[in-house]
Amino acid sequence: MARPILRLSPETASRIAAGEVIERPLSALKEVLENALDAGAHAVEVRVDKALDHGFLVADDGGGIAPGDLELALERHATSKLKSLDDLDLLATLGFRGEALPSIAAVSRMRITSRPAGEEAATFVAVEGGELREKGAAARAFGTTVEVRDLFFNTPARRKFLHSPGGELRAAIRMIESYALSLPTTAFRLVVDQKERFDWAAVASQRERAAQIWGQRHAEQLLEAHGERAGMRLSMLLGLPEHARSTREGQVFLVNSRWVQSPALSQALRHAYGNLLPGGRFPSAVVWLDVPADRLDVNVHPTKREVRFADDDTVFSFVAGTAAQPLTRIYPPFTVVPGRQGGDEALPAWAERVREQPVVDESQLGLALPASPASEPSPAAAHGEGATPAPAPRPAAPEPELWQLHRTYILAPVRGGLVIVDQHAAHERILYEEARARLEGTQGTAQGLLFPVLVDLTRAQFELLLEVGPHLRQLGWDLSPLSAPTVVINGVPSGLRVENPGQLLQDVLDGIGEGVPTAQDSLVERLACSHACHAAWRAGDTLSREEMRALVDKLFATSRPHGDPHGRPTFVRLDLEELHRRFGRS
Amino acid sequence: MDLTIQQGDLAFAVGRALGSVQQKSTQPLLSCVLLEADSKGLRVTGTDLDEGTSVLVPCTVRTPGKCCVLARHFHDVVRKMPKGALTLAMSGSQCEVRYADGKGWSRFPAQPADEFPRVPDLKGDMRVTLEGEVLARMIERSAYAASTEPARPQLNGVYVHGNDKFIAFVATDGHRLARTSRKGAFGELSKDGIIVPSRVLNSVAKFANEATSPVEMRIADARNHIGFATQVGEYQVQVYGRLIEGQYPNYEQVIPKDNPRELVMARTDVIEAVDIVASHADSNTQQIRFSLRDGKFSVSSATADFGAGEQSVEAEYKGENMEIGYNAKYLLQILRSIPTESVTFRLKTALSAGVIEPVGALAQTDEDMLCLIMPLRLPDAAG
Repeated sequence: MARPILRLSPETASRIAAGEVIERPLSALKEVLENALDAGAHAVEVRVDKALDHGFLVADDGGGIAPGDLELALERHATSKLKSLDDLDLLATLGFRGEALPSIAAVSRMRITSRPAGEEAATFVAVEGGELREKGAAARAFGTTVEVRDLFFNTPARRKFLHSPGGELRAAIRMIESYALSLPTTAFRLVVDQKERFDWAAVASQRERAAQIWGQRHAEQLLEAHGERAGMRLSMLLGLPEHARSTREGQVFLVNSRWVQSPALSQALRHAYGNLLPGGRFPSAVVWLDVPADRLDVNVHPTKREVRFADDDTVFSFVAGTAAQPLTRIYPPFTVVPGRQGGDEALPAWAERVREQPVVDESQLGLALPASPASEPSPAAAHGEGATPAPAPRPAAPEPELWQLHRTYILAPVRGGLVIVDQHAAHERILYEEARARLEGTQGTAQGLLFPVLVDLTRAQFELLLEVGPHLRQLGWDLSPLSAPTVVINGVPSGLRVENPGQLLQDVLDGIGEGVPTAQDSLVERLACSHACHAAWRAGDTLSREEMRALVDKLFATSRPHGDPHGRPTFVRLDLEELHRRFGRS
Repeated sequence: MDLTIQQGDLAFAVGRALGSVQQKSTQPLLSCVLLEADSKGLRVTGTDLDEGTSVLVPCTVRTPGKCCVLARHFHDVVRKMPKGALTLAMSGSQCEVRYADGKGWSRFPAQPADEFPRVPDLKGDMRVTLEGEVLARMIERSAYAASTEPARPQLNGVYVHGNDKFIAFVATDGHRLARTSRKGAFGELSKDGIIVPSRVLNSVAKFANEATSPVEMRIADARNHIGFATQVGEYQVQVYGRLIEGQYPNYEQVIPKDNPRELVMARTDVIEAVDIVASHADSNTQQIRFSLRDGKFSVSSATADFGAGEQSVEAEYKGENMEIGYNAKYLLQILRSIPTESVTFRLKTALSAGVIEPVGALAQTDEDMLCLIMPLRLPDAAG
């Protein structure tokens, strides 16, 4: 495996010249770790002594460095990974500039011990501030150990501007995690102050590696997506919408095995999640993307944390399109549990006793008097002949019990926990999908109004009305323009609580009017959004049990029940396990 | 305060007063009932400021006085006390009730009564008298159609108006309308009429049926309050309410006079058909379809979620073929409010208001009723 180390031609060296500088302890670790991975290691161990700048070492079982090359490795622009500028277009290794080791060596006390395959023994070199101090033979299994101590000992000014050791270590762990995801078949171990932080054995799949890092339960929930296009290969593990974060920290991009930051990929992901997420939330995901080396420029940034794609648009649509596929199939991983049904093991026996009557029947308040002189006559009795008795009160139905909390949320017991539904967001999602369906196909029904409503629109609203009139009719509006800008509402979309038809119409028009429609499709989309937003039940609306029932049923029948059209979450799930944990039940 | 009262009497009075007490109130005193003892007996009052119920029970009052106790709690405890005489007296800041010949007693924390809202005094105002069962029936035939949406408060009540020939109760939520009337001289109401919150009327309906004397409606001169007073046996019961201000829509102009298509059928048949078929309707829109084809009538419904159903109903129909959509819930409420064996639908188009009326005279021949329902516009509806 040991490759001979050659000097780059001055031309190549100058073209590459990125002025590689070890700007922080993390960069030193990153370079050393990448070298280990480039050497084909099957197992990498990182040990940290107190703090990264105090001392760390990286030991691998890779190809090793030939004894004669050890000193050369410490010379600037000496590398085994690149021979000429042409090779730069076909890079298959993480490093290539031949700058990292000499740069680190210049500002630390470094010791490299290596034994390539076939060698009888290992050799070592010890360097201090770039000066060779010692070299000789040592004992070691095949592979290389690079030990870096007292980083920046000779540059006191730099030492003053270091991040906190804790922050640096956290960043290091995130970096090691990323490379561990990049190479699941490589084992990773981290030891800090003689204590093992993790020891991830080599595994066969990316999902198994994810399970090692984030735990089995989380890893099982991740959605998988794969794709191939134009020589690119893509694999993804996508977090559920509820795993989204307020920063991009949850995103790991591995392009040709290299851990990079990429605004383009981040945007593609966000695009794929669409309105499953609200603004300011970022999906968590791991993206493995392999791009032909000649269509990727990694030599953009001194620390190589950024890459440039030859064809940004293709990559964007490839990633966004592939990620969107499993997301459209998101379906709630639970079912609503019917209440008062025997043999339901998900609900413990005591659940029956602590359960309260969810909806108080107003008509029974204070009237169940044993001493009352006359009992309530039934409506039928009042009618005399032929009257149909009022429907008997529903028996304690085996329907799921639902509670309305502060006239804002609906609580629904589900298998293994509780779901809390935001009534406005949920209704908005339902209405949005109904609206889309109606705008594309079957016309909605209008509830006729006994007293047609006259509305005076603004000129702008009226103009918009003329444009979207046919669409409004599809949604169930029955409108007839009077003399501009007045319109008569004869009917409103049925099934809605339309308190004030005129206001609703104006709100819907205003909602569409924001921005200039560019294409017919986007106008329809905006109308659907605006309709859903303004027609939906609001926080503060009292819902009957039937309405709650219908809301929950319909929400989970929509294609994307997790979020409203703006991406706000529609429900939150509280696991029984979580409750048990909080109450100290193990 | 010191008095002796029968347990059944006290429980009745507190129970009825509780009907006007809101469960959750912003003012603690409004969770209480007011107990007032004077020479006439014990008066128990509950109110939420929009509505109030007051029951006067005859009893032996030794010392007049008044206090407030938590309504629901007091009611729950009094109900459980043994039948027979109770004595109520103040003991410090507590209201003490002794029962079972002094064997038991309960004490309730009492609030000072001075700040309890005063019930409006309706002396010397306009009065209209109706028999209790008539009032209850008219409420039942109208109040269900009132709206519960706060945006148009006028529709949250029942419009009561009349002249020297009749009195009418009308309610609508803009989608359906119910009107019932009774012959008689009610000239007092000829000016404008009043809008009584349907909530108040529902409280009134509870005792109107039990009334042993006619119910007197007292309307304040300023037309801002109404009171309903009657005797229930020995008890004097009064319900007060704040009237809804504003102009009631001119409902008479929306009652169609020339709907030519007449559909007559047995009421129970159509109720049964609508009820079954509605099981397949969307839970929000409750949309069902009336199909009138070649003299045949059927009710049907179809949704993706709940499947489909259809039922034909024997009916007389002489008119052109027609498909018309309705909200099943509205339809059932209307049909159930009508007491006769058969009903008539008078229709014009699939988009215009339909009239639903009883066929033949009502049992009370001086009464009349009429309902309107606006159809749901079906995508394929024509005519």
